[in-house]
Amino acid sequence: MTMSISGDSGGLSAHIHSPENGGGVILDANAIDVLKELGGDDVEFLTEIVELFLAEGLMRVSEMHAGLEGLETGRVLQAAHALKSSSAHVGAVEFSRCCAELESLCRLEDQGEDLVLTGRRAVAMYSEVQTALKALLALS
Amino acid sequence: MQKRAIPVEFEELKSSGTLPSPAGVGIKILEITRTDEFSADDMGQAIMSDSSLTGRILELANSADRAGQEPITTVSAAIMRLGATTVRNLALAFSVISERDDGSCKAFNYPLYWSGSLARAVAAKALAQHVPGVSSEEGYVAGLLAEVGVLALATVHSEPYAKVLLETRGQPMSVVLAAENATFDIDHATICYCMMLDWGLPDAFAGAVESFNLERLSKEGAAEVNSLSDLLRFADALSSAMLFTATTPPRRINEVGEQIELLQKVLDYSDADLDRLIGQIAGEWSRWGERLDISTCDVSFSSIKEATARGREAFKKEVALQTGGGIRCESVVADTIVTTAEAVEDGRALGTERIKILAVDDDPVALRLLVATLRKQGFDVTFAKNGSEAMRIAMREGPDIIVADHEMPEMSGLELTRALRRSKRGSSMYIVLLTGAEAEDLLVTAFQSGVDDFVQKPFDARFLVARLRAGMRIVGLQRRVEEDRRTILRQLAEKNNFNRRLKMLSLTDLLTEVPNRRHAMERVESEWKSAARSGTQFAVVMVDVDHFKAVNDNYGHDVGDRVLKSTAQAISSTLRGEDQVARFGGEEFLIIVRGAVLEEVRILAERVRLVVEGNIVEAEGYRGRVTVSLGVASFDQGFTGVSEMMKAADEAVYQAKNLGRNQVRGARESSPCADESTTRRLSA
Repeated sequence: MTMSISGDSGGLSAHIHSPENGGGVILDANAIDVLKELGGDDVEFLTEIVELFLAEGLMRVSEMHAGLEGLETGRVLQAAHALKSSSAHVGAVEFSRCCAELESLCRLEDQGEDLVLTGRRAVAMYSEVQTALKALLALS
Repeated sequence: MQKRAIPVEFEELKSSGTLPSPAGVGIKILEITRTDEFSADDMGQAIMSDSSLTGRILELANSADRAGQEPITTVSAAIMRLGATTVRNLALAFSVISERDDGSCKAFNYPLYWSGSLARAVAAKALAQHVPGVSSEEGYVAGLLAEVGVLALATVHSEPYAKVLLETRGQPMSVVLAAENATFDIDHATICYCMMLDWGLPDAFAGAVESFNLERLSKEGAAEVNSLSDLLRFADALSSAMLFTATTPPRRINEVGEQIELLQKVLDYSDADLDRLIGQIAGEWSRWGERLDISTCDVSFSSIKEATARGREAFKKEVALQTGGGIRCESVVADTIVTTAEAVEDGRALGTERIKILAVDDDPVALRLLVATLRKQGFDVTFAKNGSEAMRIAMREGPDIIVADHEMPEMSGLELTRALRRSKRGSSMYIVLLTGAEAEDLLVTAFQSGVDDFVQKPFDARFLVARLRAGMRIVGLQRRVEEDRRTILRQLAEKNNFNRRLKMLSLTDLLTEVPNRRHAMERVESEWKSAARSGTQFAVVMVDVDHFKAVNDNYGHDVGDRVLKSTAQAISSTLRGEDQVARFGGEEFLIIVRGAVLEEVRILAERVRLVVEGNIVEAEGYRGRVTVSLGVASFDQGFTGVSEMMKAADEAVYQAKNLGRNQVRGARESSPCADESTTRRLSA
């Protein structure tokens, strides 16, 4: 995993690339900028959002993992649906796409191996997102 | 028993279209149960279409005071246990509550009103076991709706009623009733009675609630609680004690303290018994408050006792100071009891122009971002973490716009929309649904369910705000329409009030303030028609003041006027409520008596004669008595029409004059001195 950090408008933007996704972007710098802009003078806002996501994300990924282990599609679907939206807000665009894909697979009648494979990929990607976000917090 | 006629003043309030009333399922229940022989099954089906109403009725039917009975789980079982009428009344009461709205009467504390009503309801429910013939559910409904007349005035006449409330602040309820009558020609007791009849509640029930409103205090020396109105009086004292605020006047605290002492005596309760009772009531109050989303607070017997003692002590000082010409004492309850709401006079800020938005999402990240985005745009934002919480907040706070996620556990965004659209308050809210990249089918369903717009998640802040601005235009238009509607209704109410006063003035004698000849003749014509149609008896008594010309000549017209005024008052004081006296002309009065035959009316006329004879008239330079001559004619004497009956009464007066004045003569009576009983008119 490589990480480049650029400063613009006095803020921090993180471009982190994922080996799980062929080197795709883990965190979208623009999304982080949007969050910082939204926070305005509230310097803690970004931290608050990221921490909220990390707490919620951990719980949802555990649900996803348990659902995959027990082949409980409903649990996987719920977790994927929730993560799809909240991860996009913190800029984890690829992870969000993966969750969307997983959610679609869950809704299919014949899910096949794809569901488990995509699910495992999502769990692994979350780990990267988590690391990247913690690094972002440390930097900010 | 014959029901009282509904006064025109109530019909005017009703025609404003803004009286508190049941809605949704409540209206359906009203329609189903309009006759006495309604189908309990149909009503049960209507109730079951509303799950929250069903839950509330089942909870009440299974409540602690019915412990030992098999728990019931269906509305039909509740109807079997409580009776169809009780279930119907409960459903209507709950329906009125669920439609509650914070109106625009600045001096009326709406949350405190509902909090007090609920406390009175649970207190009445708990006390009902001591009243023969009153079920706990009946007590509950009566307690809940007992002051709905006050709410009606605050809703329909928000501005003038605010003035009445402020002017009578801290005064006994009798002063408030008098001020209401002076301003609106009707008081909250009568309104409450009429509203209950209008909702189909039994006359005896409505009458008991009216009696409570007319007299809030149980009489010292009461030996038992033996009627619904007594029950309400004691329940009201307990609920008032539970809501003492820092601004409750010491006079009221003293009153409540006396009532609670009386209750303790009547029930033969020790302090420990009362402690248990108040604990039970406070617990139920809190539970029902949570269920109905009505504010409550923690109270205990000891806190009430302490506050009451302090209040009563202050009242004694206040009385002593007033007796000694001192200043008025300030309220004293202070911090001994946590209050649920600000006191009435504090009022609340109204007319805020900020758009209120309720943000709803079970995803904490999305919710936090949504709230931050909206607040940054200057919206007044509240939030909820699920659909059920959103429903409660929406009903309580009435946001202009709701932005809700679609997929949420318990209650989805669509279910929330449907529930809101079923209520009067939620029907005008602008609802934006947050969806994923969903199929078109969902959007079609969403719009059919009442959603106004949708935005895809994860939302783009600029896009969301742009859509909300479009929504704001709709909200702005709705606000203007609503404001116009309120203005029109207020103007209509004022116009009706003005017209009624004008009409009343045209029918009232300005000097004596009793109805004038025109009014009297309208009433006689109407009574004649009613008697001819239904056989109801009625009679007229013509009254003429003896030697009135001499009074005028000797003492002047001012004294003459005073004599007429005083005589009118004396006559009025002897009559029953349904009888009426009018000034018929000069020194002549006409009494219209309902439901009586000649002999009974003669007795009444004799009583009038005696009262006038004993009435001392005082005016500048004059102190004396006058007498009257009276002629009675009644419908049962077989007159052919009104004019014949009036003429006969008039002739009887002249007979009385001819026979020496100060006496009663019946029409068509043979005269003891036939020669003198001709129509020769003596000087009056």
